[in-house]
Amino acid sequence: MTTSMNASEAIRIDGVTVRYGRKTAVDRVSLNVARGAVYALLGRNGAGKSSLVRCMLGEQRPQNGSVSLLGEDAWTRRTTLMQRVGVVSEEADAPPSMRVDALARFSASLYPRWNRAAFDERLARFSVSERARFGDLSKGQKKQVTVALALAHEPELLVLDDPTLGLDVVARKSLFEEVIAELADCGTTIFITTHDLAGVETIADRVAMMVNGRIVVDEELESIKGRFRRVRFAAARPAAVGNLATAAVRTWGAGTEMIVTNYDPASHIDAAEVSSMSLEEIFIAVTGEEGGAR
Amino acid sequence: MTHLLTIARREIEERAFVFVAAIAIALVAPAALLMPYGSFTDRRSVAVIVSFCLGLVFSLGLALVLGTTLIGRDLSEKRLSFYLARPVSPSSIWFGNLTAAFALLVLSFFIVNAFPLALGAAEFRLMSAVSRGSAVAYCLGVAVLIMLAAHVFSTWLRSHSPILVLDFVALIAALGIVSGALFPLMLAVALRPASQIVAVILLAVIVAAAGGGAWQLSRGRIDVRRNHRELSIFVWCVVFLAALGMFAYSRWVLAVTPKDLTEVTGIQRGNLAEVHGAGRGFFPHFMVNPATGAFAPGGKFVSAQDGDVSAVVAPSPSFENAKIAFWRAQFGNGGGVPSDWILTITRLAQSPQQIATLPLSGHVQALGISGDGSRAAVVVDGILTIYDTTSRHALASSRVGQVSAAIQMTFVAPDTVRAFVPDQGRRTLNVRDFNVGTRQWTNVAGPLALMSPYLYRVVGPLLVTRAPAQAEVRDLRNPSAVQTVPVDANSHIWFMRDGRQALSRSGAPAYFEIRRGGVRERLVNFGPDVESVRVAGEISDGRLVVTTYRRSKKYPSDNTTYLLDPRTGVLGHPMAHVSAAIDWPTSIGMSDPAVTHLALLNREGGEMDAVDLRTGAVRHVF
Repeated sequence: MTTSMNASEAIRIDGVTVRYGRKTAVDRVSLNVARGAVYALLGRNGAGKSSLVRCMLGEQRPQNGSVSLLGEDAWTRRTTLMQRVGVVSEEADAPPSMRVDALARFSASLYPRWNRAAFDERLARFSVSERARFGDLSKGQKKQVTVALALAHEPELLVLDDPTLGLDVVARKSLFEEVIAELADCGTTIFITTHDLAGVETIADRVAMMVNGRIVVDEELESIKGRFRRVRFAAARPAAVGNLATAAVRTWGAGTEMIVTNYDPASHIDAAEVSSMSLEEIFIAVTGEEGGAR
Repeated sequence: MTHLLTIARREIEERAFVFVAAIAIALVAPAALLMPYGSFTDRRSVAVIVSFCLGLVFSLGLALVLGTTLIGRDLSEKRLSFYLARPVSPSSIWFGNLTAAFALLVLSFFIVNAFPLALGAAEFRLMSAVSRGSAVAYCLGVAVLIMLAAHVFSTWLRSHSPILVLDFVALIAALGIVSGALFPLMLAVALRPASQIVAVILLAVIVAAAGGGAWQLSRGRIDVRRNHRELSIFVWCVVFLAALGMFAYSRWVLAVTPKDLTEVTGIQRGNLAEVHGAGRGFFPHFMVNPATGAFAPGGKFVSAQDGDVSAVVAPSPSFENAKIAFWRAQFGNGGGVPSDWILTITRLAQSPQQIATLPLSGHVQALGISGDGSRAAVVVDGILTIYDTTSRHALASSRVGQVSAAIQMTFVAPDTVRAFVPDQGRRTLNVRDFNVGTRQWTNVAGPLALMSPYLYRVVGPLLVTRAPAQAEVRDLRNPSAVQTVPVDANSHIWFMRDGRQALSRSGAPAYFEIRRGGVRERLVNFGPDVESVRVAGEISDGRLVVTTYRRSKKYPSDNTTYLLDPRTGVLGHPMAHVSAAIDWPTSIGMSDPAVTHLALLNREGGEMDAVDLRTGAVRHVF
């Protein structure tokens, strides 16, 4: 089934709700991802990211709403869609007894566009032996093999579900460099859920944040970083903060520190210090406290 | 298909250790050949049997393990994404796994059993009484069934879903429906339809489990509980469809009527005919009234001496409705009747009319029914009890005495039962009447010396006893006068009402003569190709209903029935391929004034005609 979606959209999620018994894991989530974009979905553990990804990949049917990938319904057209989608799942789920080359052979027989040379080249870059059993690889190597498998059929859309989970710093860096390199090669759309905010900050075009199953932030990374500021006042009670929206207010020495979510460089604020925030700081501000800044 | 095979190959590769285990087990039993005991043949037999038993246990255990891990383990351990993240359909995932499991099962079965299969033909016959091929098919069939059932149950149990309660209820309901379809058929000894039902149900279970796997994955994917729900929906839809279909089939089979019969044979039971033949996949029995065409399905029939009443003895307590119960004793009236039965008394006039049912318990030795069906005489453990069948009350009881052989009971009046009690040791017969009102016995005759320890038949006042080469006829009105007639395997004698005897002798050709006082009055020939002839009844004008048998290439049993005028020897009203039902299965017969209709059975079309013994008219019944 082909749903109506803009040709420039790679992912369209409309009002998706996922419940497990009485618990609502994903609550009426809607989002669009443009083709060629790198979209990062951030959220704390249990925020509903993996459930949303499972719905996106046609592995789980939402109670309400619909998901379209590359113009086709993810549930009903999953089999054909997966020829155009690469998936790096949260847990390395390949059978431990399979050797890497057997995994490659198995995958090659399932994809019409399988680029064995590209797979071998990535494997060599990761220094992973083809004869190694998947179960004998380190966590980082497993992830690298999974990424190599996910990219070998030259997908139009790459979905990475928390790909850096459990990886050390070097492995994380290597993974993101590989993804970035792939992006540079051919504008593949990337949808990534992760806790590694530093890594994603370097590659993401657009960021969404999920809290308790709901999307609370969904905008361009630069836009977010532009409107979030840490503002410090010398006085305990600033006389006038104008129309600043604050995500958090706390004591700063003898003065006050505010996390401002609608900072406008043109407006004049009589503050002691105005500093920009990293994505991690913004994420903490948004998701760290219930009902944080949106 | 390519994806299916790719997945199957991958699964087989992952479980290749099964073959190693199979080879290891296959090598265990042949090692017994090296043991220093017995002859080589004995050691080989031991090795074959041990090897086959080990192989069977291995295969069934493997089926259980494969079934529980078929998809359920990946599902519960959330490893199914390995397949679902790739462009393979859920049905390819399922059938790929299923194909792999089946291949593992079959290949390892042949590996483990290679030794007994190659060498153990004799031992197979010894163990299973079936051929090697059948044994292999049965074992693999059971293994596949176990594997699929294990998949279903493991999927249900792993989900921890409350739907399990509904599954349990559905299981009980399905078993109830299947039992309801099977048990009446088993009681009716309808073994072929019953086995067909079992086969269809097993096939439905296999289809349900095999198809259900694809269905659950296609609709449930990685959702464990949804997998459970979808599997249950599919399984129970298929199973209930099959079970209800088989229930309807069972009812259809048991709704068989005499019209459905082919290859009909019949036995005359007084004025009724016990008819049986092939119909709807088994051999049902009916009591038919040839005069009216009314019939009742049943098993063991006891007819009243006159009237249209028959009694059907049916098992109790589960199947009180004798119309669906078929049971037939092999020997004699009342002999061999197990304890706890329901006696159902039915009037076969224009349509079957059930008069009464009477529970019977204990070893029933004799049964007698009054002409109107209102009373039943039952002998259990030597005690005669007269029942009012409507109220089921016992009207009177009395000890019959030492019963050492089959006794016979008949109502000579509504309040009087006549008991014919042979004494096997003394070879004597006592005939006594029991009056229900006075509860007194009256000696009618006896002890009468018998030529054999058994009384053969009672026809009105005449008692017939027979031995291998002769028969004895005694009139109760003059018990001391005994008429002895020589009969043997090749002759048949019929006592006519006017005292003459119709004697037929088999051979090629068979012939027929009418005798009076041992003197031949007339000889009747039927042609050179007629091999035997016998009398089935006598019409009131003296004509005899006779059936001849000739050897024929076209017909397996080429019978022709005639109405023979003994005065002129003219054979009238020939009915080709028709055999008359007889009440006298051995080579002696007698005209019974109480019998007014005789059944003629057309064996080819399964049709039945009736001859009115009062007028000689022949009428089509069914």
